[in-house]
Amino acid sequence: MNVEKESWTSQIKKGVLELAILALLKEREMYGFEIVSSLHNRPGLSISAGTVYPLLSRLKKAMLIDSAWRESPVGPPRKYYTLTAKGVSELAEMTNTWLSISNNLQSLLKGGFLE
Amino acid sequence: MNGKNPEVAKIIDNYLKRLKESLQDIPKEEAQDIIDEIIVHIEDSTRFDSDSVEAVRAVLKDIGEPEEYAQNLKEEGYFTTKSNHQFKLKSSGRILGMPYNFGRPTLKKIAERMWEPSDPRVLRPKAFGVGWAINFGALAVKLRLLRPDDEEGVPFSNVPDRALSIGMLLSILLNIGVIIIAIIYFKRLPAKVPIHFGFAEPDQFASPLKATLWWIGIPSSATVILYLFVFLRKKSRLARALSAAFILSFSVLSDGAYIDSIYYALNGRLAIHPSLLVFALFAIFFITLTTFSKLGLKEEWRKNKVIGIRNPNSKEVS
Repeated sequence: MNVEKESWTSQIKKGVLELAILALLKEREMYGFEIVSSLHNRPGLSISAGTVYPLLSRLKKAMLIDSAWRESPVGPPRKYYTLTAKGVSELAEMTNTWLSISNNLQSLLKGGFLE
Repeated sequence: MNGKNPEVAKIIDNYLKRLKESLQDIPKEEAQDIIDEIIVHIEDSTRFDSDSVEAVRAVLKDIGEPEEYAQNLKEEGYFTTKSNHQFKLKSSGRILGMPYNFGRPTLKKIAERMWEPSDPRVLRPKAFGVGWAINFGALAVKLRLLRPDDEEGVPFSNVPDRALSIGMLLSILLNIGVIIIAIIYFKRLPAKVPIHFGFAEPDQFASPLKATLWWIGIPSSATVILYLFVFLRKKSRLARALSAAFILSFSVLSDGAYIDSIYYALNGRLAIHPSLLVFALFAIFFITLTTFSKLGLKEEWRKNKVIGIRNPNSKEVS
């Protein structure tokens, strides 16, 4: 049961995190460590670096984000990720889907299904 | 590296070395890009604690074992593996719009290609080989025999054993029937019997013995083989359902063709048009699978009812 629950949690997280990363990048361009620590500051969305980088890779493969190495104000050059035009429109769609799922699920969990 | 502490430097070097080794099968520039990014990540993460062995260990643990991390990247990522670079074919894809898939086929994959009511597409790329496969499940939905959500986790996993056995029994009976016909008519056959019909006219002939072995020998032995290896050994319901549907439709085609051969040899015309036999092959395959699916769903509902009302612990109702 525990294994089941763990895999359920990680499945859910994986899907949600793509949305979270796209939402972060909508604000501004970011490099990997920034993304990891931004998520880290949000309980529930906190996730290991070992998961974030492959996710970034996947989003790039889907052409929702792009990346480029650039000098940064402090420290060494970093690989910055930005949202592509496709990423922007996908983010809007995913946001709508998410809102619809979460609204309906919330009312269901509150007992709306008993009506 | 950032740490002045030689132990920290050693841990990081060792990690990067293992990562590099795990990335050998992707192009050098892409591998270097991954490594550079991880170096920066480690530096950023240990910015205020760059000499601490514990801090570095924690950061590396957060990234995961290098082999595993590399594997995850390769699975998710945009990387072209080296073999693709050398224009080797991927195990699946499209050439000139024609889909192919030479990935390792499993019975479940093949079954899901042939039977997935929830996917409305009737023609889909094959699970193995070149071209398209018919999704008979979608066809059943289109013909309003099933609903798109009439689907079991593993196709046909709830079909009652008896139904599967009856399917198999039908093809055994069919083959026995045709063998009896063959015995009755064998002596009356001329020296040359048609064994192939171009599209309606015979274009190949053989001796009665060869024709009989060809048309009856193949389906009968296939029936026996499937009976011995799939049914007697009680393979999964999925395997038995597909075997029964296949052998029944194949037997109808072969046995029908044999009857055509005899009829043509004796009367100079066909009893059944060959195109009708080919149609029967698909139709019987389809009808058998649809019937199995319906019986399986019924069984599933019945089981759920029994479990829900009478005995919450009984999972298997045989």
